[in-house]
Amino acid sequence: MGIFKRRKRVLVISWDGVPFSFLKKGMEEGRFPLFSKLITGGAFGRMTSVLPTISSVAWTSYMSGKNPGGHGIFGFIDRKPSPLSFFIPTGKDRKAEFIQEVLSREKKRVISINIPMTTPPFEVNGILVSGFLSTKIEKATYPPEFSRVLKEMGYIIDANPVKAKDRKDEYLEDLFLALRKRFELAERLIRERWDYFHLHVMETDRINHFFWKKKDERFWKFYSEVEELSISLAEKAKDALLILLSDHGFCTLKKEVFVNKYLEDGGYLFFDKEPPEDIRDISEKTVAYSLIPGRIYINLKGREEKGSVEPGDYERVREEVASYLEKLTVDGERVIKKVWRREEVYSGPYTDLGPDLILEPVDGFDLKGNLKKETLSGETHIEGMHTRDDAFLFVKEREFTKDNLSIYDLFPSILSEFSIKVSSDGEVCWRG
Amino acid sequence: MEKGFTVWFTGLPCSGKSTLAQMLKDELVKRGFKVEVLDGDVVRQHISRGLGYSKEDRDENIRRIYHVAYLLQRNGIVVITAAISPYREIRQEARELLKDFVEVYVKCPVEVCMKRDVKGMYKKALKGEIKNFTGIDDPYEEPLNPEVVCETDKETPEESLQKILRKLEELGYIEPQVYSEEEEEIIKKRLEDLGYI
Repeated sequence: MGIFKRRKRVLVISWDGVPFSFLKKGMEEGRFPLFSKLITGGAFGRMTSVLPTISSVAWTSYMSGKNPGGHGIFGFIDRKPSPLSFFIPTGKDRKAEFIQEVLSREKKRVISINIPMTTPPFEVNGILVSGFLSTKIEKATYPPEFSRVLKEMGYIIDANPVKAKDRKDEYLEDLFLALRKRFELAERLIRERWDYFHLHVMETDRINHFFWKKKDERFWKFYSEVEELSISLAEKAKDALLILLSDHGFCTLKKEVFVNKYLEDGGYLFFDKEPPEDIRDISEKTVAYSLIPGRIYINLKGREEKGSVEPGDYERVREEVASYLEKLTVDGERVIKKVWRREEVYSGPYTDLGPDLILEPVDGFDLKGNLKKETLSGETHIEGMHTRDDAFLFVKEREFTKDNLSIYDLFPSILSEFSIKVSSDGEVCWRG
Repeated sequence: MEKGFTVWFTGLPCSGKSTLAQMLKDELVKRGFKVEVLDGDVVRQHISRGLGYSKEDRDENIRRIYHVAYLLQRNGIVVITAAISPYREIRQEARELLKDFVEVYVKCPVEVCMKRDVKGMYKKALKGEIKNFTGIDDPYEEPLNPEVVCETDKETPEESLQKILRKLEELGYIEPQVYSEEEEEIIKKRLEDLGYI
């Protein structure tokens, strides 16, 4: 060893929506040979994600170390209670500092590629490429002029999911191309100077959504390529602490379940206009309504534009609605694993922005937020859906210090590698 | 009333000032601002008719532009000027008067501007048919500390526009806006196709 101590570096490669159980079973069947070998030299475990289990919420928690009540992001779509309206939350709506910002402030050089909720791009000490919530490359990078590099190499923000419905072969080709471009960029940037490098692979979530049931040869070919490209990238930075993780698990989607239809049938949801075209068509008689996936809002007077539930009745009404929702069945099968009161899962200054109740479904039932549907459940071309408790975490040359790993733990654990202490909803979860 | 401000484009003839000024105007109008563009060529046909291209006349032209900009700006209008404005001293005068002043240097090598030569002016200047033509036989003094530099030989107009918008956001003149209406529809569709909304 020379007289100079080598700088500490952390390399994170994330595979969106890849379940722990899927990797474990795959390895038992002889798949993922490179990953299999890799995990013998580190800690590999199951990790719990967030509620609701959505990438935008999960990655905001990863980057901030906070639960949704602490960062203010609760879904891909959210509502303003008064005047009642929908909006699409972006990184601008989060209320917590991200790991890239903390490290930049500490003069660490950051390279961040494709992580959800980094749209719009923000200033870092390095380079940031936003994820799939960006609409065009010109608006997807920090510094802005870096977008030129992306354009020149034909970088793809996201494969167009409209093809997944009836042009699946074409969609799969697009996924391969997007994946290869992602790694082409990473291979180029990994040669630069950096302290924290994070490449996010979104395409694993996509292939799971649309190709999960059959898991045919093309599916496995895709995963082999993800594995090979990831390990090859890691080889370029052998001195760095390597972390691989996902943000949630996956399971087979059996049925879509329309929660607002169930609320309407139970006399909890009414509309001024039939069929309703917008959330503003909810009537003043409404007691509760739902946003995707399984977020329930009580129509509280003083908070909601057309509020009907008196604040004094809030607890009683919320319990009544919770008890009604627990009974939801489709084809004789129970749909809801657990109804959470928000204070059970959220804490922090932005808890009030979140839903009053959060439904955790039984695996296979995808809870939708459509305002109006004629039936309680339906079929879909989407084959896979997210699960909360089956994300994975691998950390090279470390051992875990706890059993119940949480996505909130990554923020303090990674920063501790740089001797940066932070407050968070997680805790340092490895040593070594 | 919205607070007015001035975006002052400066650069060689055919560097891309008018194109960017128009794109910026379209974007700001979409965001609900009242916007007026003072284009150098248009100004010379009206409020500066009769002025020539000597240093004195050029300075007088710029004084008229910044005075009009001042009147508009104080009434809550966003003013975008697109004139060569080749001299540092007079641009500084404009900055001092207007205060809410964002200088955008539209940087482009003269060789590239000559190739573009939209109105054939460079050709005429090179033949000696036009005198005191900036970049040929009249100087262009580059800004020393512009708020934005757009390198139009290297960037696409969209990239340059994004640079300017981000600076205006950073300076607090416009609210950060992640999506235009059209972009929001694109994202909604993407999220719907993924089953996320």
